[in-house]
This record gives sequence, structure tokens and C-alpha cells, in this order.
Amino acid sequence: MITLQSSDKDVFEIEQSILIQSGTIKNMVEDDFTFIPLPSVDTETLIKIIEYMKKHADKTDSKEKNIKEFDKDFMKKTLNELFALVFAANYLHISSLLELLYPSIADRIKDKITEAIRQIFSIRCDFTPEEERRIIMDNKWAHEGTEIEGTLD
Amino acid sequence: MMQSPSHELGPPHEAMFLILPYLHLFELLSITQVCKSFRDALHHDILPWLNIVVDKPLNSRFSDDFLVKIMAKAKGRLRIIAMKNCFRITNDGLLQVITSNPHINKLYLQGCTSLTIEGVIGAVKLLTKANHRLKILAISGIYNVKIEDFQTLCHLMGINQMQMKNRKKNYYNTRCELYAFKQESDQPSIDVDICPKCGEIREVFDCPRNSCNTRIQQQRQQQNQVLMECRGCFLCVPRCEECGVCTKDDELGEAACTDILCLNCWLQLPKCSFCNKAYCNQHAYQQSLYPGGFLCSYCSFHATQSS
Repeated sequence: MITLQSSDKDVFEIEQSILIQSGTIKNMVEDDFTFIPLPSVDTETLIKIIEYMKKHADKTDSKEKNIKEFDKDFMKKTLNELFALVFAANYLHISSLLELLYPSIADRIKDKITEAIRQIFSIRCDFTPEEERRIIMDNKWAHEGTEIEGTLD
Repeated sequence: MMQSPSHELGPPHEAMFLILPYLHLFELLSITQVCKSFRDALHHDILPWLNIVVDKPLNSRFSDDFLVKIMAKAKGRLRIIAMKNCFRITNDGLLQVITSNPHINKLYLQGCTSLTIEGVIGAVKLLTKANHRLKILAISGIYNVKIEDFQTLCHLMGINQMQMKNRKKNYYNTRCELYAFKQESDQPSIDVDICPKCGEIREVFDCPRNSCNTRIQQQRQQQNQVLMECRGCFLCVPRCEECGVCTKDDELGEAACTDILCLNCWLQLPKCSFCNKAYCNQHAYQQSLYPGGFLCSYCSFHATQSS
């Protein structure tokens, strides 16, 4: 059993066989660590990561459909939750989770025009009017017709 | 729509920069215009430009000129190029990309109808010489592909009969999933095959129906030469849009879109309040919603006409 400690100092005891899905943890376990502090992962995110690894630990064929359903539901989270998961999965080197997260987040801005992206992620436009004009000109060909086609939804 | 609780606008979340290499081209270009940090990140970072995925809404505007402009950002290190339904791309444009980027290992050209199979073969020849391996090729929708062309491509890419037989099942209802960023092991090396029924080179689909698969297994065990499997291209074996089962002998549900729905799926889908037809999930956006149900686009149009 390996003990993980979140940035909020909560501890979790998990079987080694489940945790080796994380490349980072696997390396530490091979170096004989049994207590692993994770100062960049908060409790809420760590709970979700552990939930994911538990589900994916048993990858037999019969469970494949089950796992796919779980993955689909697992991605139904707020953007901030997904971002926190990306950071954690990146740090912990869980490639299967990253492969799930990246397209899920990318999907949220699929087909969205610039203004829609700003709204979805609450990003402030810090261009001067001149800079903005120039960059729009550079990419004009890609956005031709988006005044009609583009959606803010 | 997602907004942070304080509704305050600020700089982008740092994790967003990790997402950049996974965005399709349209979103990459939209995001360069969002703020300075994105513009600068995309200007300096080459990683997002090594995997170019062009689909809707950019596909109809994507010409050879733009292709050359975009690929220049990869500085010769392009790895994946996916151009779905980019019908303006010609053999010349394709050749230019390949010549400047010899390390491409995944090439998706579905629906690029201005390309000829000769142009594609020429491109694949360039990408399969000198120890380089082209891992994935997708050409469904390109016209006039003959069996010899298919065999040439398989030979160039090192695909043999055994590999073709043992690959993962290809189901009709999951055919549109763009695999550009997925593992090679999850995809076939080439998306088309020889249809066992008509002999044309098309996408060939397996059947998810249990009874069809048991029949195949039984026949293989008996070494029955007459294989009545329903594996075939869509023109030979029409399939349900939602679940991919073969529908030749079955009763079909009526669909408001032009797709085929098996009775099982039709029963589970919501229906138009007037004509009782269902939309498949992909075309559900055509529903005219109102409290308690929806009208299909046909009934909705005629409802306004007759008032």
C-alpha cells in the first residue's frame, strides 16, 4: 500500500497496483518510496484522480464498455475542474487520462470564434485596437463568413 | 456557457497552453486572436503546428495556398496532417506539403475529392522511403480507387493480409470519430478495404449484431467456404446510423433526416410531435423545440406556411 498526501495534507492509502498507472508514482515506488507527498495536487483533484485510476486498473475486455461509459461521465465536469485535472495528470504522467482530457477540453471550444472563446474562459482581450486589427487581417481567410456562420453558443 | 463566478476577465488559465497542440486548425486560429499570451505562445511554440487537423468549418475554404502557409510554421517537422473533406486541395498542394515535410507519419485525406489516387500514391511513395514509416493513411471518399491502387498502397505501407484480417472491428456508427490524436494501435493503418460483396475499394464495416458474429464464427469452424457474413461497404450493406447493425431484411424506423434507423434505435429516439419521425443524434440539432416536444424541420416549415 502506498500513501499519497495532497496539498491540503489529506492522506490516501491506495494499492500500488492501481497507482503505477502514474508514471511519476511508478518511478518513486521503484525507488522504494511508500509515502508520496503531492504538493501540487489538492484533495478534490486527487480524489478524482484516484477514482479514475481505480476504474482503469482492471482493463479486461469485458469491462471495456463499462470503462468507456465511466470516461464519458468523468469528463462532465466544469472547466476549472478539468484544468486542475490536466495539471495533476500532467505532473503525475497519467497518459491515458491526458488523452481523455485534451480532446474533451478542446471540444468545448470546437467551432467557436474568438469572442466566444473569450467568454467561455473569461479571458480579457489585451490587444490595442491596432494590434487587434493586424492580427485579424493576418487570419482573415480563416474567418471569412464567420460573422454569419460563427456562433456564440 | 461557462463563466467564472466573479465574472471577472483575466489572463487565460495556464492549463490552456497544454491544450493547444490538441486543437484543430480553426480553433488554433481563433485562439491566436484571443489575447497577447496566446498570440505569442502560438508564434513562438512550434508544437501546436506539428499536428494540423482541418475539418468543419474550415474545410470548404482550405485551398493549396493556405495549406502551404500553415505548414510553413512546422518548419519541416509536420507529423500529422488531417484534411477532412478539404475538396479544394489538389495533388500539387499535397505534393508540396509532403516534399517539405518528409516526417509525416499520419495522413488523413478523407473526402479530398480534388485529389487523384495517383497523386496520393505519389505522396505515399515519398513518405515510405528511406526507413520512414507512414503509420496511418485515410483515403475514403477519393474517387476511382482501383484494387491495384489499394494493393500498391498496402505494399508501400507494409500492410499484409494477416494484419488486415486481425485488425479491430470497424463499426459504421463510430466511423466519424476523428482519430488524429489517438494511439496508432486504436486505428487501422488504412481506412479502406476491398468490399467482400462488390469488390470496390471503400470503407468496409463489421456488424455489431451478436447473431451476425456467431454465424461467422460457426461458419469458420465448419470451414464453410460460403461466408454469408454481412461485412461490406455501406452501399452493399446499409446500416443503422445509431448502432451500426445491418438493416437489409429488417423493418426500419422512419427518420426525419435521410439516415437509416433500425427499429430498436428508432423506438428509443424522441419523435416529431406531428409526423412521428425521429432524428438520429447527429441531426438532432434540426429539431424545432417547443415545451413538451419538437417538430421536425419539414413539419415545422409547413406549420408556419399554413397559418
